[in-house]
Amino acid sequence: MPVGEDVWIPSACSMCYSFCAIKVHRVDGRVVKIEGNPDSATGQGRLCPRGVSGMMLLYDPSRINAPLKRTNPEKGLDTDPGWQEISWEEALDTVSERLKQLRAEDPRKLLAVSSVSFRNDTIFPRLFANVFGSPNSWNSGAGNHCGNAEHLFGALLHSAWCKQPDTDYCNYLLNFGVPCGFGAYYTVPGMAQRMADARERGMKHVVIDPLLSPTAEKADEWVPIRPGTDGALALAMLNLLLNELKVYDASYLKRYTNGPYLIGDDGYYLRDEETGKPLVWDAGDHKAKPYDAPDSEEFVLEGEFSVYGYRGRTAFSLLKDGVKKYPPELVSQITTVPAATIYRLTQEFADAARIGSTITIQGHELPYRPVAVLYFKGAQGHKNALLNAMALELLTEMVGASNVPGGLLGQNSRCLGHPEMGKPSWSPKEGPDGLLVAAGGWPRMANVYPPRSVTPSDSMDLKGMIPTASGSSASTPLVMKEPKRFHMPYSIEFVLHMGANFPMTFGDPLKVADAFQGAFQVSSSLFLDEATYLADIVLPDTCYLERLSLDADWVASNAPGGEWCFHLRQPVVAPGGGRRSISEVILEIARRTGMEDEFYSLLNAYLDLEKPYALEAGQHYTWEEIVDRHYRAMFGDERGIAWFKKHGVLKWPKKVEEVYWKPFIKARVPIYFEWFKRAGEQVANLAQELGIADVIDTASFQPLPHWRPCPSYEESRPEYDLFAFYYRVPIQTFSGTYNNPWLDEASQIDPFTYHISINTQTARQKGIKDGDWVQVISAATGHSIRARARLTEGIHPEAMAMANCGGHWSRYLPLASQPEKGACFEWLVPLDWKHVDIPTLTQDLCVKVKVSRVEGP
Amino acid sequence: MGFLDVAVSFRGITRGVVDAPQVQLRLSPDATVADLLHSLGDRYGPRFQERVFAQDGSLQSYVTLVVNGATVEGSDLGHRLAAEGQEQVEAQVFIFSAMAGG
Repeated sequence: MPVGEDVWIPSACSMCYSFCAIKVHRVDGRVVKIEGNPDSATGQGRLCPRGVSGMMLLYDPSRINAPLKRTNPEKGLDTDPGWQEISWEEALDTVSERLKQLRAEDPRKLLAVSSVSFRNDTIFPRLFANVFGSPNSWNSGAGNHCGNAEHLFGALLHSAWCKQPDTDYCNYLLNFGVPCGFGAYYTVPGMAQRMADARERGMKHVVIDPLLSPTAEKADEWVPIRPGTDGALALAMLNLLLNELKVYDASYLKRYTNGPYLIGDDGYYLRDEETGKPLVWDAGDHKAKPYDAPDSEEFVLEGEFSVYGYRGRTAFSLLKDGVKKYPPELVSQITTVPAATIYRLTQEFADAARIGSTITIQGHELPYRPVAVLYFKGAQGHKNALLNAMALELLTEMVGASNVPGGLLGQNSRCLGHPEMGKPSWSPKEGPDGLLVAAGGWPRMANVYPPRSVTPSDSMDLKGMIPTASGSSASTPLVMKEPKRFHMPYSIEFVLHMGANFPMTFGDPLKVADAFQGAFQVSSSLFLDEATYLADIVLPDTCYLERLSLDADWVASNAPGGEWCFHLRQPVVAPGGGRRSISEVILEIARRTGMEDEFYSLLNAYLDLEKPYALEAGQHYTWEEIVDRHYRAMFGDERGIAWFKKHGVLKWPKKVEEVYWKPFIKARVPIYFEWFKRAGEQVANLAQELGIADVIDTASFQPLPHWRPCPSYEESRPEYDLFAFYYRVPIQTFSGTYNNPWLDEASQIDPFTYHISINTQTARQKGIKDGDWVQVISAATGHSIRARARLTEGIHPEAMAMANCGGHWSRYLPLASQPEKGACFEWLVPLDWKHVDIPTLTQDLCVKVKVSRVEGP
Repeated sequence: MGFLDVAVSFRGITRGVVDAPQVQLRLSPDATVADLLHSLGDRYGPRFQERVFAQDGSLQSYVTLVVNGATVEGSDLGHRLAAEGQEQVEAQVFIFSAMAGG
């Protein structure tokens, strides 16, 4: 241990997926403090409680220090595996031999399971699965936190993974339950500062949420809403905007959307007989023309016309007529939001949009639309995810506030590269039918447009069959349980698992365990958490303060405006005990299984490594050499990891045409999702052919939004009278931080984190007092959980809420598994096809429950 | 009028839709990326075609083609495989599994 050492080391946090820039204070070889790095444009020196507490993760005595193997052949959620320490040599030999055998049999039998929290490191095992020959990888966070439908529309409308309001210019933010800038969501601390600045500047922030959340309590207005009905509210607002107030940006809709496209009575575009392109109606020539006809004078946005003997109505007209079904008075009954409030919010939104106004920034005159509508898991984590999300997105589109100053911005939709190197670089472009093709990370994920072919899926996530699915898939454990039913010619026999506590983050833990326990599981983990109860071998992983990551940024980690800023996650201390980074372990396994050269060639393609940075066959590269080549390929020879270790961050100003890219890109975005209809028909036909039509509900594949209630609205037993839902707090990350003593202390101080929140009046009617123990029974699973009640006026009277994923039961997490550390919401969530939104493969989190007072835990 | 010999390697899950890790093709000297992929599509049938091409015939975004060490831009189906006079080309086809997940 160096004596007299006193240094601050730049790196990047990994306590959640924000990846904030940090500076780590190391004294005499030990980390003593972590702060936000003020040099970073992303975090602006801010850091959340989780980031500050990272050193307690590093030095947690419950961490694993040696490879372990199971001695108890019986597997179960709470069955002690009987761990026995083994050498790294034995562990790697066992894993490699099994993998070689599996690859020879059928490589598809491998599943890589990972977590978004360590995204930049979990990519590596997923790439390994790919080169191994398996299409199966899964982020188990699908259940609790994946944006699914939000990501789909992020691609189609914003060329982005997610969105943020333009805090520099936005004046009115309608926020449907997103903890944006208040502890979760993307770019947490940086957005906290930006939201605070926007509020001080005068931005009005209206939060629509069943819970007076940490976000809502700091807003101008909290509008309580019945869980799962956000889409209905958006439909009523669309109706008012289009049909009563008649406030919409006609110029934007004509130029930048498919609003003028003519739709036949069959629901499909009317197409030009010669070119096959969608037709629009030219008011000047009084005839139909392809949407990109050079001689068009004026497209008509509304109306009905006759083309080739067929009736054609514009997409905008169909939308406008369709939302007439949702008057505020009716929607008030669905949402419990008073009709007068719906009228007022819509009027405020319409007024704030300033349609027709412009602003000049850096010499560019641009549309100025200072309003945004934001939503994420809460609004769309339902059976009707696709349709909810569609309605919410269209509010922003109707007023033209998409990717222009003041509006809703795709989070880093466009990058024109470092001024010297021109890298990294991505830009949305025009695709078939004139519509937007997403860039950024999308091409390497599962881009959704142009539509993928609908084929029998060869992967457990069913993405081959569902072309609209983009995020984590709810189908993986369901198909794993019954592969033959889905015509999979194989089953999962080997799980390569890293960092995801899937029994606690994805629906009914018993059913999840049932799907996994037949496979040989190798877990690279920090702790012996609940997921490792199903493991056969556990490898001790390094935490983010002990490892070098492939990179420390992704498209959703940079701030939406200001400057580009790239970071490095470097080891601040040497790995403790016998811990090894999963990335280095994967490289070693690739060597032992004879896959090294293939792995290099895949890395070259995935990371765009070309000569002289490409990894060459027949060579052996260290992990550090690979990461260094990745950085130098992006930023030039002089800016390898040595440069980043010294300087910490690389930043440069964002251009106007990057942040407010919409006026600079020719592509249109859909407000009528014609291809969803076709995809739905194709999926329905295929499901019929495969004999799985009973579980593949295609009713939501609609081109326009509708209101469809969740299955929980069918629950008629009177004692199941509350909707249970899950929310996130700024002092825990999913299930992964409950053994951290600092965060535990903060969670105890906070009145809500470890409690079940119930409306005061509702609780009194049930004879429940503040602090009483309550039992919650799920109508859908029959399972129950217990925790103390916290009575509050700040929750909808028909709802109860639970924070994050507490209620651990692993005896190897001595702090997290103590009583009164929250409860595990997943026991309430069913794992079945009825609760999956098929177009987006989203798990429905809308659960009806019975709550009653009980004596003690 | 000569020929262009193309050595194609399939990596990762691409091998699940073909019958061998490598294949040799003989194409015309001015063959393009589209020519190569359609030739492979003819050889390996609908399963390959559906994985590689989107419904509108464009290249699926998760398919990457590397020709002589350089990545070909996905939209550039008209890109020529070889320079004038070149007689041999090495190509690698990758299909990336869905890496997304929130």
